[in-house]
Amino acid sequence: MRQPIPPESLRFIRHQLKGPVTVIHGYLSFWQTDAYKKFSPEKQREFILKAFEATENLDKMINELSA
Amino acid sequence: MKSVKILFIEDDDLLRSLFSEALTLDTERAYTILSALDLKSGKAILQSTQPDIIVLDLILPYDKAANQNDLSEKMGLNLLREIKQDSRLKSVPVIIFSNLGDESIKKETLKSGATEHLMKSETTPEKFLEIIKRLLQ
Repeated sequence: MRQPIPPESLRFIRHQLKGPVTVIHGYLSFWQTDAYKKFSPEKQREFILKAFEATENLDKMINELSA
Repeated sequence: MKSVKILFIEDDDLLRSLFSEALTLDTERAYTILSALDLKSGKAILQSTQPDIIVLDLILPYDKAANQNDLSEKMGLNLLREIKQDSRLKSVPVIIFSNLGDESIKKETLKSGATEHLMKSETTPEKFLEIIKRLLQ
């Protein structure tokens, strides 16, 4: 049976997972509020790629957790 | 256009980049972003520069280049205390920008002199800009 994760480790894991979630949410919020229109098409594409990179980071972190 | 210098001490490139982009939406000010990826480079910048605002993460590595990557929330908190004890820097507003938001740590950072303690995950880029603008008024 797996040992429960100590609260301090859980706190740290939660903190680390929130990083990429914040990035994804933040870039998407530009579309939610239409602020994306104030940026050039190149910038908009850059934002989507950065949000995509954050999803990959998140996936990597989750995989490391379950390894 | 007014010129504003922001020191961002944050080890996550994507996060720093996201919130720096928000500042470009300000039509009244031109921002210069000084970036520090770890505590050591943050301190080095502060030795030679007086920013208008410091945005400080709590969990930071000491020296990324030297592979001293152990993360500790004490790093950010200790730097905040050093800034607030420095006669040249103590008046510079420090925004603690972290995903650690439990009441005890918030109390600790505000007691140590932080102007704001923001949870990254609860702060949209536009809200971040509003807070920066408010502090600059």
